[in-house]
Amino acid sequence: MVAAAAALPRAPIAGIGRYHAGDQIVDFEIGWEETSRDTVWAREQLTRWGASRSGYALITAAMWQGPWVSPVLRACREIGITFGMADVFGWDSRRTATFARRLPLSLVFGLGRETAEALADSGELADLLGGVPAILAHADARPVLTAAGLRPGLIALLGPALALECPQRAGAHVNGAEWLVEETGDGLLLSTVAGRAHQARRVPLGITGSVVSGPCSCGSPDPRVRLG
Amino acid sequence: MPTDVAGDRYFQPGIETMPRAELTKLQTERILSLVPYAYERSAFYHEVWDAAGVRPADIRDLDDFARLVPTITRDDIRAFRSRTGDPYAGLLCVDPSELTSITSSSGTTGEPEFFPELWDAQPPLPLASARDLWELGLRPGDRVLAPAGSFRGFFDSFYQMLGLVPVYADTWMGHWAEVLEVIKAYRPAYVQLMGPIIIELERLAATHDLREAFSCFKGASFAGQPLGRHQARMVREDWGLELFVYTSAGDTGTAWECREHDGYHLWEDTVLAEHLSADGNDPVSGDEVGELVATNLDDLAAPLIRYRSDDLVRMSGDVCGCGRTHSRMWVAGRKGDETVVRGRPVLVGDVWAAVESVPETADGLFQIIRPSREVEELRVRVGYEPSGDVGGLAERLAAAIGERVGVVPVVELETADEILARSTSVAKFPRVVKK
Repeated sequence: MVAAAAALPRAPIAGIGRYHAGDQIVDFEIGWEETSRDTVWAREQLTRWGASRSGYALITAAMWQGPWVSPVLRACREIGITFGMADVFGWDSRRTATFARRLPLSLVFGLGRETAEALADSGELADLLGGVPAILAHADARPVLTAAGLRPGLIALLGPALALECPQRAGAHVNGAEWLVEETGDGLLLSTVAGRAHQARRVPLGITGSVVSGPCSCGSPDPRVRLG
Repeated sequence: MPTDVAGDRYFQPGIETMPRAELTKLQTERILSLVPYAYERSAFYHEVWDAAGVRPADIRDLDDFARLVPTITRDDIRAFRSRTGDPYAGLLCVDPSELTSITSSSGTTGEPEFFPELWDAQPPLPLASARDLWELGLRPGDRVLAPAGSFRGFFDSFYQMLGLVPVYADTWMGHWAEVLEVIKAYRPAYVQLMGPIIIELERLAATHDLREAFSCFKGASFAGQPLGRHQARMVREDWGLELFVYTSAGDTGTAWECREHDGYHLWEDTVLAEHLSADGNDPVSGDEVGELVATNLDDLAAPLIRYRSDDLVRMSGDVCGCGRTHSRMWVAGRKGDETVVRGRPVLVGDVWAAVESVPETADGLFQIIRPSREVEELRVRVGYEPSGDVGGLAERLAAAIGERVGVVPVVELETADEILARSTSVAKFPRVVKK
């Protein structure tokens, strides 16, 4: 079937995503070239967390998060790490639990509040994820995870941009070749600096935080965002 | 390969209309390759077949396969995993490091079961539906709404492979007022629906013109549960949306309706589908209800071989009105869903028909509550819309169900929102629960 599909024309764009900018919803087109660049960047970040061909990753995400998560999935494929998938809803936390129980996970990516709370309520959170060397979680899951003694890295969706903490956990890296994040008294602003299908110009994200411009001790030159 | 985009109906005409004799030849070749492959690599099959006294050399054709290779059940797989601690339950035929991905079953009857996947360009589950989406009418350049769930994998790269543009809106329940705005803006051609979403749309129909909203759609798929008559009529007739229902092909992939809407096509170059008596290994005739027993023909990672699906189906190998030669099946129910109340069998489908017959519960939202298959009392939890007078509803439901199944149940009423909150999967709403 792949061969049959190879004869089909490619769509002009890779997809259409949506992000929140304050109380506004902004639709954005996703181009093919930036999809490739985002994958390269995601691969660099996952490699910093130790992702390798010999490990297992669990990705918990909703399909609407595709503009941010699909490059991560493509990066997993390029790295060769075997990845499992689980939904983000609290009632699907048993799927995350099943993966954690049966496989020696080396990376869990995408944990959100519902899953973290459901696992905490079951009393299994620390037992299931305590041995996972790399956990990347959304900000709303971090209080629950840290209360269980876990040290997650931060995932932040900054408008159309993905920001990921490295193992230094000193702010979430943003790809500086693609995005400019500015800190203002009214919150963070985002602009595109590369040729992307969607161009953003100082878009208020409705997120408060600070931007660290100096190099990170992980070796990345990318700026980092600290939320809150 | 897809031929004339403008007019041709088939994605892979040579395979989809393959004469039966050629299909059988293809299946035979794949089975004769699969059996020694699995025996040499899978600890589970090695053990099960050894216990049955079967060696790969004994299998020379499909008759030998059906006569000698033992059938397996989900419980067999779980027991092997429990006994050995192998997360793949002995099914894996490759080194774990070779796996690309692992998805899992919905888990409505227990812990999710792993589906280890080995792939290059696209994951196997969505890829297997390429012919079905082509039949639905999707063509390069069409926009499609991303499905809500991800546990069977991200489908966006598959859509992109078909030249489609995924629109990443949150299509899970509770978001459809916003989704309708997205539909208005982008005029997508396809979406995947589920029962709870149809219920949400039914509410939105009071304030939105759904016929206009869905006028851009070539079709929508629906899965996860049988489609109730009330919902089917509403979606198809009131909203003008052509629904393509699909179901599991015995956990080897999916089986979809074509535009004839007369049964689910099993792609028999990917699955060997047997139709056996539910309590034995004898084949049953196509118009009788039997159990779907499935064998993966295209899975090198962890193939299911003679897997008893628990799905009770009718089956036909007659050529469909669409011209496709692959067998079709019609689902009658799940083997494990039969409840025996004081010795009397009660089927989900019969309770469903009774619940649908009462206007306030026409959406067919219900669950049979049973601690075990055999019970002394039939308990049914039913979801209703809280607007309007629901006086005497429980009594009317009990009477309708009692008349239909011969056992008057204890009815527990919940609002539709309350019962939907009991969902345990984006793919399935459980009809039989323990509590």
